[in-house]
Amino acid sequence: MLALGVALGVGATGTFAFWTDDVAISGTSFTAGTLDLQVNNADAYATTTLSMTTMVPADTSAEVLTMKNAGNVPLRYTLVGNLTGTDAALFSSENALNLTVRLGGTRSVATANPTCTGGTQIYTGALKNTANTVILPKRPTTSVAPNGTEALCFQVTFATNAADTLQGKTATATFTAKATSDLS
Amino acid sequence: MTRHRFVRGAREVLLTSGALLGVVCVVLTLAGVGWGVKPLIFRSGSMEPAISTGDMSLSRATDASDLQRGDIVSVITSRGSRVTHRIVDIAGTGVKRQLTLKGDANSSVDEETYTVSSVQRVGLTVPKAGYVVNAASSPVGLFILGLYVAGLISVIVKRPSGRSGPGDEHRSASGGDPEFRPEREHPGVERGTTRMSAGFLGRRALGSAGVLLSATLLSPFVFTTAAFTDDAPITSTTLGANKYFTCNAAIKSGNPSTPFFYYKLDGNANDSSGNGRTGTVTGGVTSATDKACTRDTGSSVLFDGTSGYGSSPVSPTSPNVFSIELWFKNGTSPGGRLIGYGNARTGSSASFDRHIYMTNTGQLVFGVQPSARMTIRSPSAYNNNQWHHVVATLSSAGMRLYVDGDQVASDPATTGARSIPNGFWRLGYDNLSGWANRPTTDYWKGTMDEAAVYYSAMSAAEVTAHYEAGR
Repeated sequence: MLALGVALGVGATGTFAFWTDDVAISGTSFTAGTLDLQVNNADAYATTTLSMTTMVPADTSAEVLTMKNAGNVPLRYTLVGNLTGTDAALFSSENALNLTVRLGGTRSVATANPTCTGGTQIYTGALKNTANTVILPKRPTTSVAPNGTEALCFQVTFATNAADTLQGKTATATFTAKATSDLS
Repeated sequence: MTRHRFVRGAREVLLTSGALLGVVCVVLTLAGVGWGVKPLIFRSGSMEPAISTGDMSLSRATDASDLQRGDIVSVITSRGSRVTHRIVDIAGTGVKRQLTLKGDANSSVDEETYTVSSVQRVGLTVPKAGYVVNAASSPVGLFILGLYVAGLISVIVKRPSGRSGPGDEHRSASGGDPEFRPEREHPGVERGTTRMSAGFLGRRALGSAGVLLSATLLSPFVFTTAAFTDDAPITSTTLGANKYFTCNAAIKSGNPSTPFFYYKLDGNANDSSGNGRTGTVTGGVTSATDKACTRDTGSSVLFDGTSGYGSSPVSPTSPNVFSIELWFKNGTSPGGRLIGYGNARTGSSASFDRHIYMTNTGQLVFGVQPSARMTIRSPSAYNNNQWHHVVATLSSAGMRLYVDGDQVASDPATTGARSIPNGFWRLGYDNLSGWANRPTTDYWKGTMDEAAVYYSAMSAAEVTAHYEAGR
């Protein structure tokens, strides 16, 4: 039995040897802790600031949403979002609602049609009715450290050339920031 | 002798402990080849309590069609990292299935659904074993193991055969090198057995086989993340389009009703209601290039404040339920009479009410005369050279005055107006004698656009929608 142990021990070593060349394993760390992403200091954030209830073409709304790592492990997040409601398909097919996200942007003080200014535009595109449409994949490039934040200014614009068929139509926009401890 | 025994004892302890790892490695290697078994080492704890950080699980390749909800499987994400989570949903038929996975400790499912034909399904889990493997694969661990291999090889090769050469040392130093080719040992070992017992021969053969196996087969161990996930939803954003995008659409919507007349005032008093009630224009009324409603076509008219006005065709009845709507703009004081009802089509009426006029201070007044002259007045002034939308309604709910979509004054008690049959709606001028806060001049000086009168009462919500349509 001892001899068997010797033999297999060598076997194990050989096996380990391979790992040193395996990039996937170098720097392997074990992660324990809690993952908690908050938006404006809430685990679930309901906002009416971005709402527009009597939109006419070219109207805008804007709000700064701060993503915060309230847990104790680094995280990255993917922002998904889409339109729901009976008229969501129409807004989607007309590309009538545009979302722009500016990293570090601020909301203009204008009471009518506020916009996002400053910062860096990291997304612009039509809001769609396809569930969980990816808006921001895997943010940020590295990770948000515990207690770290990332301020995003969201601006919704109702298309200047919105079709008359959209008169009186309503949709609801829902976003979800999906955080993961997988930093790959 | 004692010293020799001690060395020998230490060596055997070393060999025995190494053997344990060795057994695991070789068995797993063989299993990996034979049955697709792969040990997974968990780097994070989102599968707790079933599997904790640092645990090692044995997984086996399983066809997607054999998977069931509740199975724990290991997949490669689109970003190339390995995640091991529990199946919460399986979609699709045939060879490939779409798996929705969720960590037991996570409140939300993985953001990605995984399309697979075969995955590693987790079976047995060994608590904390992953830490041991990880420690062994660390630089320090590898160094120790490298020395260990060197020792073992010398034990295996030197003792039975009596050979100890530089070649052995060279190979020992490269214990951590995957290019390590121990096959070359075979001839030497085989030759060395000639003088040894059968038992020792077997041990050496096994040792050689172990080296061979481990060096030529790929590592069976795979590190996996059981990634934590957490969803932060952002809800309640309602995006509702206004009922109308243009003033034209609002006024012709049939809400509250088809207008008695609808003058777009594109430099004239043509009726756009469909009722053919084209009005007349008298005195200083000119076409203005300005327009009240952003998305409407056309222009507006400018009243000169001294002689200009417009008149509708005759109205057989003088309504007690009606709505007046128009857009105006002026930056001057006094204001004058914007619109109203009177018995005369031209000149100054003898009977007159149902009017909206602007006071010298820019406030708007809505007045009717069921018996006494009843007025309601806006608190704010609107002579700021901006376009404003005004609506006045009379009904059983009383008098209401709205400016820019909001109600600014009301009188619920006044529900009727003066009976003036076969009268006319007048724009820009008529008699205001006797009325409260009468402006210095009864002639309106300023521009006007999109004027309509309905013989029904517009609701507050509809007023807002009409205003938003022009904004």
